[in-house]
Amino acid sequence: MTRFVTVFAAVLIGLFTLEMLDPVQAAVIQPFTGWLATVSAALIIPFDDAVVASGRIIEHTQTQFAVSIESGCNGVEAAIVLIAGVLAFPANWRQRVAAILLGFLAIQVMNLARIISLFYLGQWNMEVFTWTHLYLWPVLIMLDVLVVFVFYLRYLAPEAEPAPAT
Amino acid sequence: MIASPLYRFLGLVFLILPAAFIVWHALASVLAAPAVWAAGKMLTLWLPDLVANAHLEGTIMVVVSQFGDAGGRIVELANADFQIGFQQDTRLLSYSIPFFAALHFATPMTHSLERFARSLLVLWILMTLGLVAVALKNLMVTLGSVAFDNGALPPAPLIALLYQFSVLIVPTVAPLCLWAWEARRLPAFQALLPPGLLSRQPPVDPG
Repeated sequence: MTRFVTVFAAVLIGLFTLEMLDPVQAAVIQPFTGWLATVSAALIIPFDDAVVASGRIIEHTQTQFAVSIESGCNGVEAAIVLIAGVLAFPANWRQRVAAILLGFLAIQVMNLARIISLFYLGQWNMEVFTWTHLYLWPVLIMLDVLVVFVFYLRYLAPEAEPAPAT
Repeated sequence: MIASPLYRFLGLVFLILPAAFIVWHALASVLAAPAVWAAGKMLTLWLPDLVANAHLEGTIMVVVSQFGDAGGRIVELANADFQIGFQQDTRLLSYSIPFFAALHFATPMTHSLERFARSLLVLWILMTLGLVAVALKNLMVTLGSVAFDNGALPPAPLIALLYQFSVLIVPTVAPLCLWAWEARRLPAFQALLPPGLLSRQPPVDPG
C-alpha cells in the first residue's frame, strides 16, 4: 500500500507538472485540445450543420454561441490520474501500456460527450451550463477513471489468483 | 461474479450523487465556511502586508487586499480611490464533498456518519489549502510585482502550479483517495476487486 501511494503521488505530481510546462503545452496539449474541438465538431455536424470548429473553439453559426476548450476540459488531467494509478500497481509493462491506451480512449470518449453536451447546454441555459461544466462533469469523468481502473484490476486478476497446490 | 458488486456500487453512487449535489447546493455556504475562515486566518497571518481580511459572501470568498486603485495604478490604501479585492468561488473546490458523500454512502460500513465526519475534516483542510492557493494566484495576477515586493510569496511558477493542482486535481482525486483509504479493509470495497489482488507482489518483467 505504501509503495502504491508513493508511486501514485510521485507520478501524479510529476506528470501534472510536466503538463503545465509551456513547451509541453505548446507542442502537445494545445494541439491535442484543438484536435478535440475538431473531432467534437465532426461528431456534431451530421446532426447540426451550423457548427464550426476553429482551433480550440467550437461555434454555432446561428446562435453565435461558442465554447473554448481549455486546460481541465481536455481530459488530460483525468488521464494523468489513470496513468498514475496504473503505474503504481504491480503489473508488467505490456499490461500497463494497454491499460493506459484503452483508458485514455475511454476517458476521451466520455470527454467528447462532455464537450458536446456542454455546447448544447450552454445554448439552452448558461446557469445549467456553468453548474454542469464546473461541478458535475469533473465528477463523472473521475468516476470514469475509477471504473476503468477497476476493470484494469479485474483484467489483472488471473495473475493474482494463488497458484493451485500440486 | 466480480462485476455485480461493482455494478451495484456504481448504481448506488449514481443514485446518491444527485441527492448529494442537491444537499451541497443548498448548504454550499455552510460547507464552505470552515475552510474560508481557516484560509482567511492563514492569509492574514502569513501575508499581513498584502491581505487585509477575508470573508464569505454566499458561496464566494472575498479576499480584501491592503492595496487600492487610483486611476488604474496600484497604490497604498491611503492614496486609493478603491480598495482591491478578489472574489473566489468556493464551490470550485467544495464539490469534492458531494462526490465523496456519494462514494462513501454507497459503501456499506459501520459508524458511517462518524467516518464521514472525519473525512469531511480532511476535505476541509484540503479546501483551505486550495483557497489559499487560489488567493495567491489572484494576488499575483492582480497586484503583480507589488505582491512579491510586499509579501513572502512563493515563486510565480510554483503559485501557478499550486493553483492548477488545487483546482484541477484535488477536488476530484482527493475524494477518491479518501474513500479508497477509509474503505480499503471493508468487505464491500474488497468485493469490488478480484480476490487476492491487494496482497499482490510486483511481477518479474521478462526482458
